[in-house]
Amino acid sequence: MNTYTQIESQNLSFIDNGKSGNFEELIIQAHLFQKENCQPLRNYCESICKEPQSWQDIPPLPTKAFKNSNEQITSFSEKQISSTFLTSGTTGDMRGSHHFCNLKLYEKSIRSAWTNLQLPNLPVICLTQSPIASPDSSLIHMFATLGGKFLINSSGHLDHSKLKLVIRKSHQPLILVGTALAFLHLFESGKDVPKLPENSWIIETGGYKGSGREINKKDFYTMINENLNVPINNIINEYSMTELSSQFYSIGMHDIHKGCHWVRTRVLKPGSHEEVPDQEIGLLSIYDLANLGSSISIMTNDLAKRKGNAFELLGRDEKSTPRGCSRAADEMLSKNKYGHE
Amino acid sequence: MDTNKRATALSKAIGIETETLLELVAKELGHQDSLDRFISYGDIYTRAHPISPILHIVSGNTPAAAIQTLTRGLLIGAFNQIKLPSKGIQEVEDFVEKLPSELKSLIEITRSRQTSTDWLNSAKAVIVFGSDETVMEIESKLFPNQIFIPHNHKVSIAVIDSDKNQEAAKLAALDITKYDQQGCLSPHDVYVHPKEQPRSFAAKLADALSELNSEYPPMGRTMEENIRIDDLRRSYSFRSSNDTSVQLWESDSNTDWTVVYEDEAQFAASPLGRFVFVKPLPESLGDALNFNKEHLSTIALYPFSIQRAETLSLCGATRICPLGSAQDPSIFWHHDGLQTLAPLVNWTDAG
Repeated sequence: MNTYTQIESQNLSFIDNGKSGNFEELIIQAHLFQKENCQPLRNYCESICKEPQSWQDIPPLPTKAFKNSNEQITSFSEKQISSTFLTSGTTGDMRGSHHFCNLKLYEKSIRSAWTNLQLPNLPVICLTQSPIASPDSSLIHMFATLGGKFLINSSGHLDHSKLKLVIRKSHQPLILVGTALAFLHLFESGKDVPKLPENSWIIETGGYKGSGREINKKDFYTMINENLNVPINNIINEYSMTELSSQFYSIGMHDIHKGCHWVRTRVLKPGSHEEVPDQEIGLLSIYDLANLGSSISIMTNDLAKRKGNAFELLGRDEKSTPRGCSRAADEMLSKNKYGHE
Repeated sequence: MDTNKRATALSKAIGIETETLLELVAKELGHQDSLDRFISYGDIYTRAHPISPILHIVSGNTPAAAIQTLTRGLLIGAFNQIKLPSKGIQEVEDFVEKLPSELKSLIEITRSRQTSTDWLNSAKAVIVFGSDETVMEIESKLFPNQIFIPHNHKVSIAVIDSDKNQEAAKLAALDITKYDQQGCLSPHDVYVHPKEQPRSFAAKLADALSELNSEYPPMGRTMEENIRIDDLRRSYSFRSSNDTSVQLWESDSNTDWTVVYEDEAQFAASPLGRFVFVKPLPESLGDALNFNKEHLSTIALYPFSIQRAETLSLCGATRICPLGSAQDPSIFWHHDGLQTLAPLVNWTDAG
């Protein structure tokens, strides 16, 4: 069996040039390597499928597997861990850890996706903290990899004067990136928000996790357009997870998220390992060749509609918990929640 | 209509004897005629009047609870406004159809959010089935003189002390399958005495659920419900493949039913939808119930005895019932530990 470095090298080449290898062979190689070197992953995968014949047979790992500190999901030894990104978590909820022995594949995936998907090559400013203030955030590391400048200080406050200065002094279009919640906070701060230079772009991501806020995409994008003067067709949604190493992007009101040739997706019927028929809704699982250090297959908790080999992300209700006798009353109140009728 | 006539009409619609309904009135209000005339009360006389109108905000996943709350309102002669979920509840509408016109005239039904919000302002009493947050939010909209009866989030468990007749698994499966485990009365966790080999019991429960499922497959589950089940199943599948203290049984290629055995005795919350945990009964059950005891509704007990119910009542449950009847509370039950008719009347004294 090839070493981590050899497989990493093959995967890096494949990311650079999709004709340099075969996705199916590479992902099965990576999966076998991970099973060989990660007992918890091996135990789980072999309980479902001992010898996958195709990439679709590889069981996607549930994200909760990343929350067990006794059974780390790594295909290298603990002493080789050089970086760890943590999942966001609410109070009392254990955060998942995604460990890396190096970030070569991770960073290559970010940069190559940007080029492959012809995303705008412009200066990036970020409504987030810096990687120094928030070293365990995969999202912030991604923005840093794209050369971002960070506008939220270590206390968590947005530096409005810096934001204004950066925008006013810019003689070219910009990309302003941040979580959807950060944009909402910006618009609701009551402070003057300068319009972005013409032909600028927005990248929003992350939904409104833990905030109890809900707003539909059209209303949100209209809000961005009105506040920042960025056309809706220049707004990009980024979708990824801490447990992955690659990203998907959708542009404007288009519903399809696009990934690159080193990632594939399956939309699964709940309670099974079967894919739903085309145009039907199920749970999104992601196969990511850049995720060599942990698990190349991840089961998300997100709903998606299968669109051929692509998907339309439908997300899920973050607040949804089993409530028993509660539907009618919650329906009655839902009109009072932000963004609903 | 007097109480007797209302009870007679209700009896035909819900299949409970008139005498039983009158006995409920007598137990709750002191005398079965309390709503019709002055009755002797110490050294005075008194008679009850229904608080009216009553707004019932009911849930679609437990139609029996909706019919029961409406029955109570009708039994005392109040005017009842019911907010149904947007999809309606066929069982409630069928129940209303069976009533005579005099009782039908005491009912107004809506599925409209706006209408129910208007009713909220004019209701003299409001009965709500909802999550803790929702119940608190509705309460915050009420005036101090409105009676508020919340039925917020509750959980139930089962306790099996012994199983000589080998029937406990089938009875537990009934409690888990009925109404697809929705509502507050179906067990999340089944605690089995260690001498009954809880892990083996889990396997028997899986067989019983599978058997019931082939006859009564779940109907109308939402994708959100399926996702919650899928998510927790996959997590326990990962755990069970790495930890021998956990074992999983599940329906094949769907989310119909799931049994998780865990050595860990601490209560685990089910996502519902016929998803149940089996755990060894610890010496101190109260300590294993690591949630706020105010949220414990029913303990379904096997074998049932009043003596054992006495000890289990110390856990904070508001109802201890025989296993197999968790989802079918008596008309006499104190719903969530509260009287059911008494809070819905006012009294006039004479003498």
